[in-house]
Amino acid sequence: MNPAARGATAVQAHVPRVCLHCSLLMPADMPGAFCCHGCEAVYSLLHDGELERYYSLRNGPGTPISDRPDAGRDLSWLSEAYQDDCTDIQKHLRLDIQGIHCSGCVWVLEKTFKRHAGALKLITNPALGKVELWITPEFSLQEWLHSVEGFGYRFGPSLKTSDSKIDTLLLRVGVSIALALNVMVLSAALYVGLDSGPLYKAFRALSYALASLSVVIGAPVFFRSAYAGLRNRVLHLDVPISAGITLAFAGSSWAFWTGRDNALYLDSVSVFIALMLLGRYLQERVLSANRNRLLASEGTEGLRSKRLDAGQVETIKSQEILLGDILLIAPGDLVPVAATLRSNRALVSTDWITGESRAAHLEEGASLKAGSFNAGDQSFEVRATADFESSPLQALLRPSGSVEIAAHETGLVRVISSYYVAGVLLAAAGGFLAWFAVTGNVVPALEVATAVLVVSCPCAFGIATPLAYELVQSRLRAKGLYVRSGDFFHKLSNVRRIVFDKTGTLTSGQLTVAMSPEMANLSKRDTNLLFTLATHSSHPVSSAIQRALAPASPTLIASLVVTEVPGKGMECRKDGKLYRLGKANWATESGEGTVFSIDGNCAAQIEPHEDTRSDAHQELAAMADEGYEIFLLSGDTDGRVMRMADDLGIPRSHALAAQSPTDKQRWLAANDRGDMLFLGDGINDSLAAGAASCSGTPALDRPFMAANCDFYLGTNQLAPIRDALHAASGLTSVIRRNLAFALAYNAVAISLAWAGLMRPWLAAILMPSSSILIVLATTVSLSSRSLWSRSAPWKS
Amino acid sequence: MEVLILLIFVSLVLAGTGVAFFAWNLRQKSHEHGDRLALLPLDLDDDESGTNP
Repeated sequence: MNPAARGATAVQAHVPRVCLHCSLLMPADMPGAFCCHGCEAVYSLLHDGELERYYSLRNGPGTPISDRPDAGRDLSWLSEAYQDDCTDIQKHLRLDIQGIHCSGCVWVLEKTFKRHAGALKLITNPALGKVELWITPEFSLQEWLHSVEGFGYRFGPSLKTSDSKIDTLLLRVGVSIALALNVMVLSAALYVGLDSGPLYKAFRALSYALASLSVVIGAPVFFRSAYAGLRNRVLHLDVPISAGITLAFAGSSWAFWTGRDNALYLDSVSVFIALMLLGRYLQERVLSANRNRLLASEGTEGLRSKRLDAGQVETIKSQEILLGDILLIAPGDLVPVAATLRSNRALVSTDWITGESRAAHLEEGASLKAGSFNAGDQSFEVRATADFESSPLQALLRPSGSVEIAAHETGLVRVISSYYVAGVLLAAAGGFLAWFAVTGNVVPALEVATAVLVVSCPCAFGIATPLAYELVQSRLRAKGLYVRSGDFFHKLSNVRRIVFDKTGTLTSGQLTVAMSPEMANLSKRDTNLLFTLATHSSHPVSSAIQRALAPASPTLIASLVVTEVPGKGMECRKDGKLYRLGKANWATESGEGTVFSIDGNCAAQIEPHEDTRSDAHQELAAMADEGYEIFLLSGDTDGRVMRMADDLGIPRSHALAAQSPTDKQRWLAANDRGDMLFLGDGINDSLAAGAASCSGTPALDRPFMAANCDFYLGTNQLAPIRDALHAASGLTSVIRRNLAFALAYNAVAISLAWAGLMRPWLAAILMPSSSILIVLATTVSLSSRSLWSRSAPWKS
Repeated sequence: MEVLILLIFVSLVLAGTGVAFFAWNLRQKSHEHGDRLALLPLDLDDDESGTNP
């Protein structure tokens, strides 16, 4: 029994059904054991390669593969990946990799690597999305790369570098925690009665030295950020954190040098710094990990083309293309500049740049737009009619750079921060003035002011908010949505209108042909003939016919002579009859659409339609039910866009067809009031993604698009979008609750300080306790089922 | 008092060594490929099962 069949049997026992490869939930009406062709192909490959251990090593669900992995991609960039220390005996390479997410992935890479002769050492770095390998000349690198890409991974040139900012932050976190723990131990001795003698003096001095070290190591992270924010007139969370550290340490220093242990809060300062750093590290690490999961976008720098020069093919950077250059466009390759076709004919897809879903047959002399793809199975030649400098791809592939914003610099956190600083300073000043007025002595007044500054810590935002973001992002990651921008949830909580591109976003990019009664009633002989005609064409409709006929187990008639009539269809003769598959006005000399004809009579009308994502109907209906307005913005023809709108229940007034990239950008700029989420996949969507206040993409094989968006989908379903919308609302509620808790805690703590009852030992208990309590409350709130419930009516 | 100074000195040396080791460990970037390091025992298992009849 083949692996897929074994899977089909096994899956019947699972309720609800999950994909056998990626383990994600499948729509109830989806046939088979896999959520997509890609997962099915990879499942078989893993079993054929005796790599089933992948499934036991993988922790949690995997990533659906969506399309059947392309294991024969152009790897012409590979020559640039060799490092300088290569010798004749040993080669050393660094490559970026997309798709590794767990120990199972690392194991598969290592296992397949070691199976090749000449393999020396492989280091896989999932955190950074990189591999480093040492091989001998005997090692067949291209063969290994192609075999690994067959599992759904993708390699690219080494562009990603280790984020030294995060490494330094981790070092600061480690050292600060160690210092805080030591200061706590030393302070505990003082709290329980050590108040004189050499040991007391030593512990006190050591506490001060270690706390000072903690400030020197930990505080610059917040000081730099706060200073940058203030220079730009932005009050974000680092301003109150910096103010808190400065004032609390200054107060404690005054207490240390004047011998007033009642105002010596060294342990509180150290613990505060360590907790704030830990929160910041959590925040930075998650976003960095999500960004590193994809190959880096090189913009136009990464585009390569094959130029014909004196009969020789040379691979060049597309940026070097000049007017008049002759280019060879292999199947699947991009036409990077406007050009004219030199070959007899070509099948060209422009869905990437116009959203037009159907591939078109072109004949010699026809014009090709920059950004067209060779959708056929044969190479063709073109002559460039412009330099690459004037190619519209330049603007479309340019990174917008608008999504690299940290969470602590935006939204609710920023609003709270602006009031927080003023509130704490007022409370401290009020305490000082009140005590000075009552006692007429500056010393107790300073002690009260110091106590206020120490106990009024923004722990709720510094540690609980990053934790909340981390928890939500982890859950979304497991569902297949990867957040790239720090302010994503803030933007998403304002979303009321959702704008979809059509081709590749709402559709899977594939055509399907429904098995019409006419097709079902064809005789076995005619079914075989139709299948054979379809097999001889690389047109997407022919591929769809093959898939539609597959359940009938048709036979390929190898002896049949099939002729392709360019731009019309395929024809053959059998037993004196003429069989045609193609345009109706050619095959039957009348009508529209695609038909299968016998001697000019229509035997079956072929009605291809775009394959929508499996859960598109369900998700769009649910979004509409929850009160979101849905729009469809497409470059495709009016007829197809309206059909799709009708099919998905989108009002026709919300569906716009024939939109160019700049049309989409203008429409979003005119209509987006900070409440629009845009989803697109093609290069024609990159300008719109930059214009929308929030954007996402399901296109992982086009790094430039994910680089311009706030999130990307690692699944072929739309369900995670609604999960994210629910999570954004839930997250806002949790942050508001944390704020209320922080206000209550501060009210109690500041009241104690004002009353002169605050002592260092009490602060040492109150501060960590409040932090632990709020962290627990956040964890419980965000783990509750109601937050992730698919039916939760967050919006109505 | 002399003992105290000695103890503090030894503690600081130990703490310094710990921090230095932590920094060295970070420079090795082993935290970035922890998944791979965690799988190394499996290699040993495979080798042993390969050599045993």
